[in-house]
Amino acid sequence: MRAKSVTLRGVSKSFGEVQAVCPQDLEVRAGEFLTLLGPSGCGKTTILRMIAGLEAVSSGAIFVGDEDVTGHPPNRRDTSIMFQDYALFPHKSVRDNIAYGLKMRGQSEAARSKAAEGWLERISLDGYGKRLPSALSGGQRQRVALARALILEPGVLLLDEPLGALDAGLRRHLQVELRRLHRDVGLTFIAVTHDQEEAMTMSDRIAVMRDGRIEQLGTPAEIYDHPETEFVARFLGRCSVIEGRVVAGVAGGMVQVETAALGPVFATGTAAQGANVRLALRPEALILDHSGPVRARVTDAVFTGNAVRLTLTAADGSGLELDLPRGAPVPATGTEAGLRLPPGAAILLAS
Amino acid sequence: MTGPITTRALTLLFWITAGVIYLPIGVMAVFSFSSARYQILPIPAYTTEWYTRVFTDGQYSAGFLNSILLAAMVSLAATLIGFACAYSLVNARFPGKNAFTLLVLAPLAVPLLLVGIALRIWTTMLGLQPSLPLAGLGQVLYVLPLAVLNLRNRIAQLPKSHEEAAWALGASRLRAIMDVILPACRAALLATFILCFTFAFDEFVIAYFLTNFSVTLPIKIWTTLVTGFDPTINALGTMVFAFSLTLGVTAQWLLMRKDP
Repeated sequence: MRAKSVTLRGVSKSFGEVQAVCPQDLEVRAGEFLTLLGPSGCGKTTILRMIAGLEAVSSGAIFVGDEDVTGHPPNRRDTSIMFQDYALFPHKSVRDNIAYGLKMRGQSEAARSKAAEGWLERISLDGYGKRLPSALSGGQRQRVALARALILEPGVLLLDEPLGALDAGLRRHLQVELRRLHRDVGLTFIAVTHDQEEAMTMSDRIAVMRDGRIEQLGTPAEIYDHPETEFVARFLGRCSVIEGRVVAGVAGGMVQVETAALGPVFATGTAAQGANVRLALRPEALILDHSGPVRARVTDAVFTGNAVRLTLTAADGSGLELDLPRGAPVPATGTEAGLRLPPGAAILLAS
Repeated sequence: MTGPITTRALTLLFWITAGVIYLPIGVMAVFSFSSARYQILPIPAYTTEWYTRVFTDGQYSAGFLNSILLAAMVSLAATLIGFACAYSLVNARFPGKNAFTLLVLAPLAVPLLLVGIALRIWTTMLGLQPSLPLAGLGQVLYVLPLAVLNLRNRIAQLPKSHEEAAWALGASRLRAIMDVILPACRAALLATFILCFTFAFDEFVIAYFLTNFSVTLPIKIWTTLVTGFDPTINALGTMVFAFSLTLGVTAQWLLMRKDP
């Protein structure tokens, strides 16, 4: 198999006084699609650039497959990178752009041309080979950039905000396309994005980053359903956070937490008895139920397309969010509503 | 906000400035067609005699040829060195880079007379004989800051990712410069060449101090003026002005044109 794993051992990066990436370990499996997700300035792009060899590491070592590439320049690594602005060479034709890597490998004009035509067909741009990149649309340029990076059949493809320069509709479509491409070529993909939906749609695993550190690493479902910190919980979709105290451990990885907002709650996670903890509630976790044990005041109802998002204030003043399915009766603003929380729907956050 | 009065005042200022700069040259151009030996009004008759004389006088054409050759060599060297210098200034990371950049550009502010004298003293100390190639070296020093400034601005505009993409696709540093940076700088390189050419072509002080009257056109004009006024100078001056203006405008146009 062509795909290669990528291993970071204690890799860090400082720019002068600024620590962009704190010493970091990361294991990217061969053939998986891993996304580094985080707000701007969290160090995700710096990690990608260090893997590509465009940025030297301040400490640590980087392996592509079994090979230590820490000191290797970009052209001596089995990686390709696609930039956010695509970085197509504006003076070269689309075909010459795609074939550039083969030219650098010393392949003959004929072989290059043939390979480039093959890729043009594959990205549904046959007949566009002689045009300049400026004559293409944003989506077409993105495909050319992908073809240019993939024609070298690298073990690892690095994608810096691959859909960042495109409009919303096209993005959603291309998230799925990228995922399919990943399956087709069977290479290791490492992407960087600040868009949680994009990360969840495309990736096998997500590394959520904050302030130069990987805060949590896991599959999209793991990270969404079991965020370890409030930062991760809030970054991956909406959630309400309430406070409470652990009163007892329960079998099955749950604890009973006494909260001022919702009374006794069975939350997923483990913590010592008597500990003060914070709980995250996804909008779909809370259920509106007239006979429910908890009451809260409805403060707002917003139509979001596939649901109505209710904002409520709990007895202790905590804000709660709840998604009502379409068609369900919407309680009037200002009225009291009954709530129910299924056991395990609340997530215990690390303090 | 620019009100109508401000706009009008600015327009007036523009025409006054343009008048101050171009009126004397206009006067010279008009007298270059006068049949009189001296600048007198009214102009007795119009003639192209002085233009004919410029072309028939072997000294002028020799000076012209010397100037063209010298300016071409000087600006070629300055453009090439300037490109290397500009690329390094944009890409290198070292402490005091901004101060160093200022240092490169500082010679622009030094009076040319001082540069000329300093170069003469220095070359004499080194035991170098004054000659046209030596003057060329001196002029390279003089126009180099212009070349660096021009090209640095252009290179700094280019997205870094283009070059990085070339590296990632297997290009060496030099190869990436040839394939990515140079094509994007074509217009700027040509403009820089032309700009340096006009400056070197008109340059008098350094050429005067570093040659033994191996005559360039500006030196020829000067010696002619010293020995007594000759209306040929009007004709020559007008032509040199038209030549330089054309080159200068072309250079500016190339610089302002949006590169793909």
